Formats: sequence, C-alpha cells, structure tokens
Amino acid sequence: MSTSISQSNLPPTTALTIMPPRKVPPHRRYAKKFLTLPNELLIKLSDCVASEDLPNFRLTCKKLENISGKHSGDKRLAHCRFIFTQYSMEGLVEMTAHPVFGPCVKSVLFGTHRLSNALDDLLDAIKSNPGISDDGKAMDTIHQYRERRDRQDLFRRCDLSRMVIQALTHLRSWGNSVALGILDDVYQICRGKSLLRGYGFAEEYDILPFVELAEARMLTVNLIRGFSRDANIHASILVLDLSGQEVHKGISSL
Amino acid sequence: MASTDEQKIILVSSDGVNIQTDRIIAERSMLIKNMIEDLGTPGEEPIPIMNVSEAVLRKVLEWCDHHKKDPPPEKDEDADTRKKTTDIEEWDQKFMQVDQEMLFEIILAANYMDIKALLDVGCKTVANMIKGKSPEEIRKTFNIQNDFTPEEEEQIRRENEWAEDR
Repeated sequence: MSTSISQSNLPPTTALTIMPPRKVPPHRRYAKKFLTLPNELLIKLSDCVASEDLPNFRLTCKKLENISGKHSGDKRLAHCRFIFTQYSMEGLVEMTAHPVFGPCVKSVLFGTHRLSNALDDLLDAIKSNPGISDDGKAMDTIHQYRERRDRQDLFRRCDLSRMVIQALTHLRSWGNSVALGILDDVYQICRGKSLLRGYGFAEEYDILPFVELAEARMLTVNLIRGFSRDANIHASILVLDLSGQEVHKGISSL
Repeated sequence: MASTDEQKIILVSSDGVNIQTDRIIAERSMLIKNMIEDLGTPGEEPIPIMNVSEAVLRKVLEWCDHHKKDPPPEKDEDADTRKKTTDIEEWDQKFMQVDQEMLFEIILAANYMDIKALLDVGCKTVANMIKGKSPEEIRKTFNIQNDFTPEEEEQIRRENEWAEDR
C-alpha cells in the first residue's frame, strides 16, 4: 500500500506547495471528511456549536463561515449593545447593513454614560490613579481627558444622529420589529460581574478610564426618541437595562 | 400474534451483509420503522439499508440496542431544550470515542436512517471537539485549510467583536 499522498488530492494552496514526506498523524488521515459532509449536516453541526465557540468556528474557513453565519447572528447579535462613540457607531452602521447579521438584530441598547468635564471630577479621577505621580503627568492626563471629551462632543454634534438614523433605517429595511433601549454602563458592578459594556468600550476607555457624569439616562432616552422619530421608526418597546434590572416600557411612557 | 418486542428482522448493509436484529431495536430508526409499516410483513423480507456499510450499521445498531427502552421522540420536539446543552450521557460519550471517520459515518447514517437522538449525540460530540479551541486548533482537528485572505480574516474578527461582551 502506498503511503504517499497524491499531489492531485491536495487542495490548491500557495502556502504549502512543497511538503516533506512524513507520517500522517491520525487527525489528518481522514483529510477532507468534515468539509465533505453535506451542507444540511454542517448546518446542523454549526447549530450545536456553543455560542462562545462560534466566533472561532467562523474563522476557520470560508465554507464554515457561510454555513454558521445565520447561527452566529441569531445567537450572538440578536441583542446587542453600543455606545455613542465614532468607533462604536461605525460598527452599528456596518452590522445593521450586513445582509446576514442585520436581519438577526432584535434589540439594540445604547450606553448611557457621559463624560464629565468638571475639574473636580477630573482631579478625583487623577487622585485615585496610583500611576500618576507628579504634577506634570497629572496635567497631561487632564489634558487627555478633556481632549477625549471634546472629541466625543464633536462627534455627537456632527455625526451621531446621521449614523444612528442610518442604522435604524437599515434595521427597518429588514422588516423586523426591533426594540431600542438604554443600558446603564455607569455602575461598576452589575449582575455580579463587572460592568455591562457596549461595543467599542475598550477602544475608548481602556487606556484612560471614563469619568462619569450622573443622570445621563434621560439624555440618552431623549436622544433615542429623537433618532427614532427622525428615522420614522416607531419603537414600541424601550428596553431599560439599569443596574442589572431589565425593565420594558412603552416608549411613550417615558 | 408474536409481540413486537420479540420479532426479528434482517437488515442488509450497503456492502451486502445480512444483519439480524430485534425489530424493537431497529425501529429506533424512523426509516426502518416506516419501511416495516409500509411492507406490512416484518421479518419476512430483508430490509436494505442502502447507504450504510456493515461496520457502521453494526455500530448504529449497538446504539439502538442500548437506547431501545428510551421513550419515543416527541413529534414536535421543542428545538430549544435540545439545543441548549452539549451534555452527553456517559454511555453515549464512550460510544462516540471512535476515530473521526467513524464519527462522521455515524452522523451520516443517523441522518439517513432518521435517528434523531443519535444524530444529536453525534453533532454534540463534534461541537465538544470545537469547544474552547482557537481557529487554528479547529483547522488542525478537522484538517481544514484556511482559505481567507488576511483582509477577510480581519473583517470577520471585527464582525465577531460586535457581539463581544467586554
């Protein structure tokens, strides 16, 4: 029996053109078995893959990415969270426009946090940060805080409403009813785990923690209400996820 | 009239081997159950199982034998209760400790022979082989070639982050 693998059986590849002869390890022996299962079975298999494993499962190859797209969307994106930063909103617009993922979205929650610009708050934040040892560094940090807040303000004034309306319009085009809402990302501990966060939180706050401004909930609710009106969307349900308690209310009752 | 439990029937594998088994065992397969009902003469005529080889058929019947007393599957089995768990009972776990080729053969046979519970166990076994693995580890496990360009891979990573709980 021949032990060599015929070249013609190998899928075309640029990275592995020459392979030294070697013993085939057991997991390679049934080379193409998995991917040659009929699609209906691959779909069933991907439905059994745990939600937390789906991201890596999608990353293996094009075929499995296609097969598992719908399950990934249904299991992971039905209820998603975003924040009002450029990075996060770019994700929201792209996701809602996505032909597979867009229709999977059932609710979108927006973070309520606002950055404080009050000097007292900033000084407090600096005092509680052991990494800041001297005045020069403290001044730099305050400068960074203010820069970030200005950037967020500018984004909110110029692009936020256009982007949210664009996303809501995408969602409407899929014909599903979508609940909108807010989540409280100010409290540090929620449901026994740290902070509920929206997409893009790490990008914005990992280096420089946020300094919260209390009472930002109504601001956010009013913003969403305005966006819904402008996008001509009648969100019948507004989901409030505050301090770990989910509350559903009609949008008009707020 | 002989009780259904004691009736013997003969199955013929795709490679032409006759296998005798109890009707109650074979009827875990909806395909066989329907065939017996259609034929109306259980035991008299061998039943061909076209797509399943002897080795796989014997393995499948071993599972059916162990599970012959299980309550019959409900008609409209609630999909959610079945999907939520990747727990597999101990006997089934041992049963599924086979090489990958056999595992996929069992899945294909369970699908063809319409044995829902066995198909579920097979799929869950594969799902467990994926659990906690990196994309590269999954590729190695199933001998999958990465056919993404770096740009496509980056795009998928970004899409994955939309749902990340961070």
